[in-house]
Amino acid sequence: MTDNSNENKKGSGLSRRHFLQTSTATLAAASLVGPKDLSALEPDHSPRGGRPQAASQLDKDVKIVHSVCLGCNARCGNRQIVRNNRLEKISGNPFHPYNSMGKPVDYATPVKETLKMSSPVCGKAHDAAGYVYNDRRLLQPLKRAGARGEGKFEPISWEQLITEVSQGGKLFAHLGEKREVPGLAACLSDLPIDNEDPGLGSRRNGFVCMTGRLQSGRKEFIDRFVKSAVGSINRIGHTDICGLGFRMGNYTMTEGKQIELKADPWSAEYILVFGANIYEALQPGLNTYGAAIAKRSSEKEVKFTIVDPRAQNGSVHAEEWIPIIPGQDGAFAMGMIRWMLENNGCNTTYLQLANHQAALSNGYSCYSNASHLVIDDSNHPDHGQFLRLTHLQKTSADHDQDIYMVVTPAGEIVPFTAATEGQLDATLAVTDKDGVPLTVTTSFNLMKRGVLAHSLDEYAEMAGVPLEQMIRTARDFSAHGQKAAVCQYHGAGNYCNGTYAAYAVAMLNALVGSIGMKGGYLTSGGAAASWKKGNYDLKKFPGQRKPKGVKISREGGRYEKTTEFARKKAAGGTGYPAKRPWFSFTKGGLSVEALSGIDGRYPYGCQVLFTYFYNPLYSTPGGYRYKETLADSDKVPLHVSIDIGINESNVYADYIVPDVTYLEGQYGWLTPHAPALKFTGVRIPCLEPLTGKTEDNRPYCLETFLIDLALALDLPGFGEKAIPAKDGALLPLLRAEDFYLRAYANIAGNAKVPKRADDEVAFVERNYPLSAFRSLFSAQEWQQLCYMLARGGVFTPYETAFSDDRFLHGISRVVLYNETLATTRNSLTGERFSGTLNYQPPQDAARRTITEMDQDYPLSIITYKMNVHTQSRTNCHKYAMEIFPENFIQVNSRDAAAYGLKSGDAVRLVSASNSEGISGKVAVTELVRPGCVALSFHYGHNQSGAGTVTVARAKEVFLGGARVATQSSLYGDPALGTGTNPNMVSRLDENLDHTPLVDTLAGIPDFSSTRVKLIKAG
Amino acid sequence: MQERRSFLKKSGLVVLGLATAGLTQPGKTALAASTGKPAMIVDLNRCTGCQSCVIACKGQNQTTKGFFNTRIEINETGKFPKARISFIPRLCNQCEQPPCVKECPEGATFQLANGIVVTDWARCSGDGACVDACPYDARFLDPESGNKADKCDFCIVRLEKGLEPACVDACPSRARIFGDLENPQGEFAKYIRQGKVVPPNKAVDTGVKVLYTVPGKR
Repeated sequence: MTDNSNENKKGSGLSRRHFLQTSTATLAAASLVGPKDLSALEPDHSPRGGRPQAASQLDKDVKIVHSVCLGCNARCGNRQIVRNNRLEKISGNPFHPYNSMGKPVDYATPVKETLKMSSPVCGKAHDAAGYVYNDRRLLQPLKRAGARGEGKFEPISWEQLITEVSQGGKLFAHLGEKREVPGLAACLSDLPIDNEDPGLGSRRNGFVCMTGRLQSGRKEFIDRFVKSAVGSINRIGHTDICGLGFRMGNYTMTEGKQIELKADPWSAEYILVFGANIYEALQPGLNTYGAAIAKRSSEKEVKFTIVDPRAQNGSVHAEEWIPIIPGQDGAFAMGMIRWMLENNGCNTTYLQLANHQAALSNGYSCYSNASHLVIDDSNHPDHGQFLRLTHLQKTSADHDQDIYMVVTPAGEIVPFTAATEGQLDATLAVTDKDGVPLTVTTSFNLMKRGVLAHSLDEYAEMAGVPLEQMIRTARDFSAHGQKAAVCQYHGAGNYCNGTYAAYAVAMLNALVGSIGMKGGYLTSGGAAASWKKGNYDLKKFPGQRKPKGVKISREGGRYEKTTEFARKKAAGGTGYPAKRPWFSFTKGGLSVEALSGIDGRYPYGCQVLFTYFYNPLYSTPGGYRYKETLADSDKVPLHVSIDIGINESNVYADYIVPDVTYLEGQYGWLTPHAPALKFTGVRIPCLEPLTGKTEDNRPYCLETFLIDLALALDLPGFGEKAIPAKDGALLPLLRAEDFYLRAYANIAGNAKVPKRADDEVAFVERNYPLSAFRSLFSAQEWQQLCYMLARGGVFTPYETAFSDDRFLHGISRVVLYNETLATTRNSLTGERFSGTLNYQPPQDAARRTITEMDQDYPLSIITYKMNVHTQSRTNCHKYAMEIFPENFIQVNSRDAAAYGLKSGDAVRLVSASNSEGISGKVAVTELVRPGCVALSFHYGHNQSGAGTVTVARAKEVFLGGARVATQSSLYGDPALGTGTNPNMVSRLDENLDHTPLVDTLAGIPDFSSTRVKLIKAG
Repeated sequence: MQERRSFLKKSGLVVLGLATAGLTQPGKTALAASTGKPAMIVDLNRCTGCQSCVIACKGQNQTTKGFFNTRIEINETGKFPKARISFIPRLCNQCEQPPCVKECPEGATFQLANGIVVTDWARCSGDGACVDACPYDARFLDPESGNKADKCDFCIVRLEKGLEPACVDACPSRARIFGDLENPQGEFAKYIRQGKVVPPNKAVDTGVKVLYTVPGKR
């Protein structure tokens, strides 16, 4: 991290002197481990000679900032050590549970005492210097100077950027483009975006802002601009490619209340890992979750089994590796459930508990609707709905709509709140209030019916797992009861029909009664305190807009309410199919369907596209399809990217706005992922921004860009009078700190951290660049704020999240039968979805099973994240690339023998959608299931530093200057473009304009169903 | 032992010279002799192969690109479907009887009183005898520094500040446990007491101070 030029400054005499200091000092240090403060010694060298060494937090000439990493989305704390305004070293933050396997130092510990403590953080975090000092970082705004995607840009002034993006005009006339480019101003209209269907919203929705790696802080800032100031509904996240499949399983089971639950790694006895890469990725990261499991497993406190087509790194310590067929997690889970149903493996005592109070009284934190009755009579208009009190009584009050019915052990039908237990296997005939007879049965029975549709042998065969292994796993899992849970992630369900796979996986926890139990399946404990209320109201402001209509991704929208549906129905049909699928039952964040919507101008056209920290062409399975979308100015009239450099996607943009990294800005408040913990970490910059600056000295970055656009367009919520204070005053929002630091003050105040903090104030003012903004606060507020800032957030201990074994921050109910899902219709077929477990293999939009369709392509391709990388953006991490300079197409030795392959051979993989395919080098392995090829997906870049780009005055525009650029070009480095990107061969759906394959229920992009042919090169 | 004595003499001379030049302060260098023996235990039942140690070491020690003071050996064991991955962190074992020291014609590599083996680059000729002599492949010649021999020194510069080596500091699962063989404390002592630790290669007896747990049976 130290500049190599420092090396020469150190003479040999000096280094010899250091020998002595070293040898003698080490004598003391060896008797160490006492806290003897030897920091008085000047920065030193080892006896290796003149090599520079990174600074440490105990050196006198460094600044230390406790913050939150953004090497990935895991949100670990970090300690940033800066010397001469240069980042020299990263380590963990001892206050942060994610740096201490969940068990940090006491929050009240004086900050100074923690400086001597070891505190780990993963390799991605340590590699931050490669990211922040990436030679190809963009410092000035760029404007396109050639055709879309041609890779020609010129730097422009900040003022020109703001004027052109806000006002539009004939912006590319000098390139021969005659069209009038819409600016953001063109979207500021309340006229309908579609005159025939006002339900789609106003023209404001023509502004689409798609966000890649976005976290809380910037998320709220962007939403303030997009939703509340412009009034567009289209701030679209990327939950879909992040991992929507497993989340949909949890979403279905919790009725949308929670999407992330995981096995508690600190108290579980048995963890069944479905497609969660616990030692290489996940969130909490390998630094926390994987590490805690490894340590407890070494002490024989927990054992775990891995269900994954690849023997991921966790296989080193796993009880068993179950090499499942990709896309068959649901078959395996349902096989386990069938065995549990037939062999007393379910906790029926728990499942019979009919309401929340009954669960609490019996030591549980959450009940299930297993005993609740469902109308199981296809002739009844409410078929598939719960039997409610209102079905049985004529004089019901409105709230009786929420009263479900159960059958008591004595056989009486009563409101669920009136019984402690309900029968699980009741099926009976009742008469409704109008005297109509109908059949009802329990949620449990409906679930069971779905499970019994296939035999154990069939499930084992579909999963590609020996029957005995499936049974053994079911027996082990159920034997650990409340201390057994699943850790499911990206791999479990990230494919078409993945909701049903992940629902079955989630159901395993409900059936053993481990949901909300210490050692069981837990949600996050949530934030330590609110950011939006307190001395400053950061959510509401005068003139705030409320977005209306339907998102361009159609998430949350109901097709049956559209003009299209009415028109098709009026023409004599059923109203189905919709042109593209609609997704009323989804957590959303459908970036893939948003891009496909933009591509098809459906349900309306996009006018202005902003992309933030987002590289969809690289990161989306089948993302290559969107080259033509982004290249087409009819589909994307104006495209502005906000990023730290040029990548595979924004090379198609009209403008690129330079941004700061997480070490210079990107403030945020980061709450825990599941499971268990409760905290708010705060991200605090340690460096002055490296990007250019406006005339009034604000850095070029996301916030400055949005603020200046808002000022240019006179949008509410920004400017001199933007933030309501408690005393009624309106405070300015003219730079990032005006927003974020007040949110921090709210958090510190709401968390009630100590108000007197002289040592912390001294620490912050000595070390933190943000102390330049202390005048925003009263002296008293500043004290309280510094108490939190010095520790990098507010953290609470694991133990306080429980009362005995009950988790205090979880959900109160899970469902074995989801009524909303059961009454949702497929927008392409009009058919109802199943409301409970139901085995479904991955299928395309026409309900064709992909493995059957693509039989000519004999291999499945699976992808994974490596421990030293994050998605598309870490090829600038120099140590990661040094350790693993390229990736490989990993092939099982049996397949290698069949194809005559050895490690290092060059091969091509082609799919039904990409006959040109992708090329790479083979690595023969035992660690992948035969019939599958596995690739990590961080390599194979052709931009992001790997490609040459024509940029006027490039030498002044990029951080590395003459090292990487001339007056006219930024040079690509082939070392940044090694290896293969598997997303470039992924399957597209020919039923839907050859856009990337997505699930028609929830919009899950498909990461597991692509099949390929392997062709040996030359 | 001879090397160490001569080293201390030499460095003593240097100190005097530098002290008169005003670069060191009296008192700072007069530290008592230690009886400590820093050592590391690597628990393979905890190592997740995450590479955090390797990257932290690179950042700390700035070794030349392509060369590592510590690395993780990655292996596959067994045949599908019984196959597993395995990880073995490797570094200089700071031998009590270091073959590298014996083979160094210039006496450039030697042991400190606390047993850490270091190299004086001013004396290193770069002939590579120490690299060849090391049975653990823990040394390399650094092409960027005129082929001087480089290797792990337990991050002496951090030890003297009272900090643990960078790799130990960075290990998320605490698979690397640092301590003093002569005065073992805490978890480090527990491993030693239970006798669960073994040298990296039982066939070579060089008095290693990096010890490994035996991977547990599954």
